[in-house]
Amino acid sequence: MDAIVPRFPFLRLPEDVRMRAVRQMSMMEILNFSLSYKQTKSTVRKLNLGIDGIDVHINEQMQIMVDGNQKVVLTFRGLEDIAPKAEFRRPYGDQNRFDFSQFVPNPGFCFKHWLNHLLYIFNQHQIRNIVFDGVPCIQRLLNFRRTFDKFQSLLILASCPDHVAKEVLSKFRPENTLFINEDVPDIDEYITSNLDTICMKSLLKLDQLLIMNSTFISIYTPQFSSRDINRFLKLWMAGSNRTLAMLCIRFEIPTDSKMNQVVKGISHEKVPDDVRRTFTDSRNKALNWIVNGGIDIRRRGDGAIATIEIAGNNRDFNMFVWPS
Amino acid sequence: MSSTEQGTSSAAPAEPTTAPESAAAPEVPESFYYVHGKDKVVHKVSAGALQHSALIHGMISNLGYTEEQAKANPFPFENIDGDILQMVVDWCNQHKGKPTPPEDTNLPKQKEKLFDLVLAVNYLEIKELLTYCCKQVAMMVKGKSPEEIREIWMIPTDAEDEAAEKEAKKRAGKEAAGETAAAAGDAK
Repeated sequence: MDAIVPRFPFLRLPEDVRMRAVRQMSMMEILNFSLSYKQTKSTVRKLNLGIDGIDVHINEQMQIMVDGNQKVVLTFRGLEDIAPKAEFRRPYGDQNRFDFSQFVPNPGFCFKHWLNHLLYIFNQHQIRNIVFDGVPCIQRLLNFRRTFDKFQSLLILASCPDHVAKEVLSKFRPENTLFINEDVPDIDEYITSNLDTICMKSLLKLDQLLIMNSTFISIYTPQFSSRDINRFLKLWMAGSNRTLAMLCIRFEIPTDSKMNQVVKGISHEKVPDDVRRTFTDSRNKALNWIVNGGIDIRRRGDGAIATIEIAGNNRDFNMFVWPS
Repeated sequence: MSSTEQGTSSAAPAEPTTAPESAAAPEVPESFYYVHGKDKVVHKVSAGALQHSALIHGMISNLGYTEEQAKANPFPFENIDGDILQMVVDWCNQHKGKPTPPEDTNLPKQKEKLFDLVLAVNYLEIKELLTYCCKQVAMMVKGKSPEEIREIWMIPTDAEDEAAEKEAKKRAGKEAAGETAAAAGDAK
């Protein structure tokens, strides 16, 4: 660096002014700043930059994605890669939105160090999503699992072979959500855990549904007969799936289930179609489901009420359990 | 930039009137206040320009200063260099009664003055100018690597910092030992 480069005693500024200056910087510069000194790391943390989350994607390479108004994507060839490719995306509306960078800040960090650094500076206590997409580039998944502590959601995409999906399910237990976008056989032991949300694509069986102790269940299935739905509702009324708040079964082809078969032998009350009720999704308070009419059923014991409906041109069976 | 009235001028130009109702209202003579920095040079600034500084505005409203009192007792800002205060006064005059633009091209370009300017602006609580200054500070490291940022912003390396910490501890230890020895001497 030559002598004419201006020098500025940044650390001598009051802390709030330092923060104000850093807030004016782009994500790439903030990242570089956070790497310049141990204290600058905490300065960035104190900014509380309000990102949406940090995700990790695994396929033939590994990516750490910082998701927010500005996005950062670091791509690694493996766990020990210390020269990741960095990509910075600016906010929507910025004319230079896609800002591909050949220059990578290279402090000698491998995947684990980068992940911990990003979680720290962006004030995230856990990874938001771990996404498996295809055959992973890592041979030993356990080594990868050891690079972080908790994570909210596990997503297994359809491109993952069954044996990979099973290995992933056995080694990675999410805190809240399991999302499986393929029909993986023999995974009952993984869906019994007390997860908040399960979304899966599967040839659904009644027994499987009964062992899911989740609040939100969303299943995409080729078929699930009205007889099975009827049995499930009877068992729910008797006390099974007590934590359930919302069940959505989406059929690959429109179901021929008729509501009178679904509620056969069940005490119920038809709600007029012009009665419009709002069901608040507790995962996201801003998200409301509008329930028009439907059929109300009541759980024995605590009297909890659920509304069931067949909607979406006979593609969806929905059940909303109203909070007491 | 329509008005470039300087704080040191003695004549008070009439306020430009844009709204029809203000055109009908009788013209109220503008009041002026006086400030000085470390160099004791007094700057005359209109009340309108001083609105930008939350600190001075607060002082005027809380202390109920009249123009005569203000003339006899200029606001002293002994911690601000005269040339820096002049820059601040100029900026306030240029932006008097106007919404501040998103980009300000009138900021001083000399980087060596920027540090003192930021401190002064922060002290005087001129929010918009502080935002511009902070933007300039941020621009200094645009596109720079962590090493270059460290160099430009005079940030010590972790090793330098540890060495300084060690040195400070050593010094503190020596001073403590000296004090104990002195106390023991006194006791004898």
